[in-house]
Amino acid sequence: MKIRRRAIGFFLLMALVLGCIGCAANRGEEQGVLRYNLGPEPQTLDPALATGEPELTAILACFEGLTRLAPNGEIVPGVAKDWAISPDACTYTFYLREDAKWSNGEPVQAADFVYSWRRVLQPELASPYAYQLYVIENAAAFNSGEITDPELIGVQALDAHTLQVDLEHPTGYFLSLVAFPTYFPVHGPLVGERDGDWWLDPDTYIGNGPFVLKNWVGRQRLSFAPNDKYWDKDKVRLGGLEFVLVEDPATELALFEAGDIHLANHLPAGELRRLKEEGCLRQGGDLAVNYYYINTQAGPLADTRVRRALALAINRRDLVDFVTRGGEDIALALVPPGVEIGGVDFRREGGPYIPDNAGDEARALLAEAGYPRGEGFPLLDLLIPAGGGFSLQAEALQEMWFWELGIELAIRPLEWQTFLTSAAEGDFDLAAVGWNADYIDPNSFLEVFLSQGGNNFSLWQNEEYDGLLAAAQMEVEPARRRELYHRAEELLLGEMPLIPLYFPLRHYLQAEELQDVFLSPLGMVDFKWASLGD
Amino acid sequence: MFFFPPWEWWTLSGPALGTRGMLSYLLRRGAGAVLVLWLVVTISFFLMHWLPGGPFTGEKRLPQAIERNLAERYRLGEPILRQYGAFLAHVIRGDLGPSFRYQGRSVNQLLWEAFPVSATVGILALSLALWVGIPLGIRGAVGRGSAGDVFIFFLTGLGMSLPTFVLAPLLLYIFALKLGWLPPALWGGPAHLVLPVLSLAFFPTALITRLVQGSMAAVLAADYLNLARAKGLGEKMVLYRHALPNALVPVLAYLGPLTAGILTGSFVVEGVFALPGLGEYFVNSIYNRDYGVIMGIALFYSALLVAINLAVDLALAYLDPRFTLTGRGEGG
Repeated sequence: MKIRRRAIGFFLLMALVLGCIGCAANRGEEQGVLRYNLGPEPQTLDPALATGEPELTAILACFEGLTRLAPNGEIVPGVAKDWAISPDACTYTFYLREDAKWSNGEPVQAADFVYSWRRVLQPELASPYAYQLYVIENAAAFNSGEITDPELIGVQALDAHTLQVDLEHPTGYFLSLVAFPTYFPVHGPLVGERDGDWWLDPDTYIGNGPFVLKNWVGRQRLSFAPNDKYWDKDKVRLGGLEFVLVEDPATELALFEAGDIHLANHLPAGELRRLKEEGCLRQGGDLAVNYYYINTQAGPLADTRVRRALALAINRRDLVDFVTRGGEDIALALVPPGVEIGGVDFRREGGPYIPDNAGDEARALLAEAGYPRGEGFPLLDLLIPAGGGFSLQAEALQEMWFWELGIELAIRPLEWQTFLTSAAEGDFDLAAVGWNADYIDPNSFLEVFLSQGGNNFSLWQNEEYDGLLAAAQMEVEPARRRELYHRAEELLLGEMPLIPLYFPLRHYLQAEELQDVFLSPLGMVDFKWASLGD
Repeated sequence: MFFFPPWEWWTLSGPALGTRGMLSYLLRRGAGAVLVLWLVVTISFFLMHWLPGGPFTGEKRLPQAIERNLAERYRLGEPILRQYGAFLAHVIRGDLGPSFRYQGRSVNQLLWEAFPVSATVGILALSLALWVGIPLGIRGAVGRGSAGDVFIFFLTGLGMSLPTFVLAPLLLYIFALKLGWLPPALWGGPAHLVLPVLSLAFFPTALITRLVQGSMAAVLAADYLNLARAKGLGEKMVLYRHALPNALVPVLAYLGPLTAGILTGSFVVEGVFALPGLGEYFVNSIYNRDYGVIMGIALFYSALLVAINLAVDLALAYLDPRFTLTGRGEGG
């Protein structure tokens, strides 16, 4: 009896003490402060070094490049109020606004960009995304150590507010490229003093964006206040930002459902259907495509007809309706919708290159290649990253190929890094991947299949394809550039070193009162224009 | 029951206990511990580098020039033995080096920040498990066959078979989402501790109850308790003063590894409740190939385990005269 009484007493005491303090801890929310789950702890907040979605989102809150990507998909002026492009499209002159300031009140000048871009390209800094700057003249050569004089890099300050950039070749997407964090300016004197950890301390984390970092509690939260030195501060309507750091998507969902965060965009795949049925799930375009690499050097897969048969036999409509169930678009080409050149949607113009669910044609192709009804066809080895949604999809394809073509598939799930290593070594017949755009241009998807492409796991090589992409890089006129890319994509889908499956979407939940938050198709979230209603 | 690694066998023989015996015993255990830690560090180091990939292997293959720059900056291009030597030299000075993933932060700093979180949750869970488990076990042993005994049996069975990854989300769903009594996750006020502590305590509570119940039942049948009763001692005195210390021996033996495990956090519990503890590092540092953190966590955990095991052995020797530090074996 006594034991039980004591135990009850223990729980009562605990509940009482914890309950009271708990209320206080939870309800102390400030007005207009947006709460969002960033995901894992940021690896860095240095714009030159960041590569992941959480890092880029936090940097986008605190910094601004020459341009900014607006919610309607347009490129709008950032630090640059205007720009001029030379007739050969190889020289960009940016005119910086005079009222652009660092969060400590000092002016942001052209020399800051020169410093920052040279810094990104320094081999010793080892910036993983330095290649984003490779379109600039001599940038790649400097980064690889071929030349050592930073003066040779094609960026110079003509005066305090004029920046001139010389490119290796016309780059139709350069204005969207400079909106990416690797191109953001950093405060030279501060960074030079404390390179390595200047971004860990709110006092030295000087930015030029809509918000300033106020506090960073390791692996718990980051808080931001509006930056009153920001040139466009009138557009910033939030009273602040609070990012929590939760890695488990199920926990993020619980926090959203408990009203602790305003936006949840990393949702557990298993809950999507329920959330959709409840009518609260929102979807947005994501510049991404899921596909299988085909190892074009592996046995029967060296035959284009076999590769084509595999691609045609898939019922993608069933795959998105019954397996992924997120309302995705099926992919009958490589480049997803939403990539525009000269105001024209590349995918809509190009249309599909292969039919969906064309079992008869697939069987005919396979018979032609010497495998009628799959007779004598070896077991195919499909490599997938363990976890994630890949295995269900793979099982669906396993069944489709078996019934349509008589081809058997062995699914081999591997831990992520082991998967990448095996894929890079060509140790597979088929390998499942998702690919996200680095910048908004068809080239971001098509360049993967260049003969020398580091991510071209298919080992497919085609000089004509390489030539088309090179020509498109040099082309200034939008319609002609689209045409070159269309020809390249048609060639690629004709040779079929990959099997496109579907274009994934971004799924998210958003509090009713939250407005104008921008989920960039490149993955990060921009809170500049967001507000929490009244 | 007690795990005693072969490389520590040489510590077994020795002079009988005394102050000097104790000192030499501690010295020998200390030397054994260093050997164990060195083995752990060495094996982990080479296994980790043997895994495919590296800290900078990402979804997108980087241009070769950049891969070269990274390898140079983080000294990954050097021969493995030289890296191993450099690592050992740092460890001896107590410096676990930088984290490869969390740039600008040292492994020492990451562990130092995360350990108090895991330890807070762990100590509370452990206290709860002992506080509830021991009395419950005694009750179960005393009232053998009663309805209470059956109930305890059922409850502990549930506790031992219900995995944390089911229990933790279940508690979260009921108490945070349905009832709204407690915050669903994050680290903040004490209210944030309740669900993680309960989830973490569930299994050890059940196990401790079972252990106490079993050993108590065995002890209760012993003659010396009849002697105690014959001397006219009250039943309470008999139970707590005479029976309990002997019944606690198996609990104590189990407490060593349990404490080390529970103090360093649980990947599942800390993941579900988004606690910034050590638990996450055990799994994610390997996925991320964060070499610094992998080594740090391996070393930290083994050092803690070795230290706590030593403490448990000392406590056992104090509690049970049959269990001597030199001629061990009968008690454990």
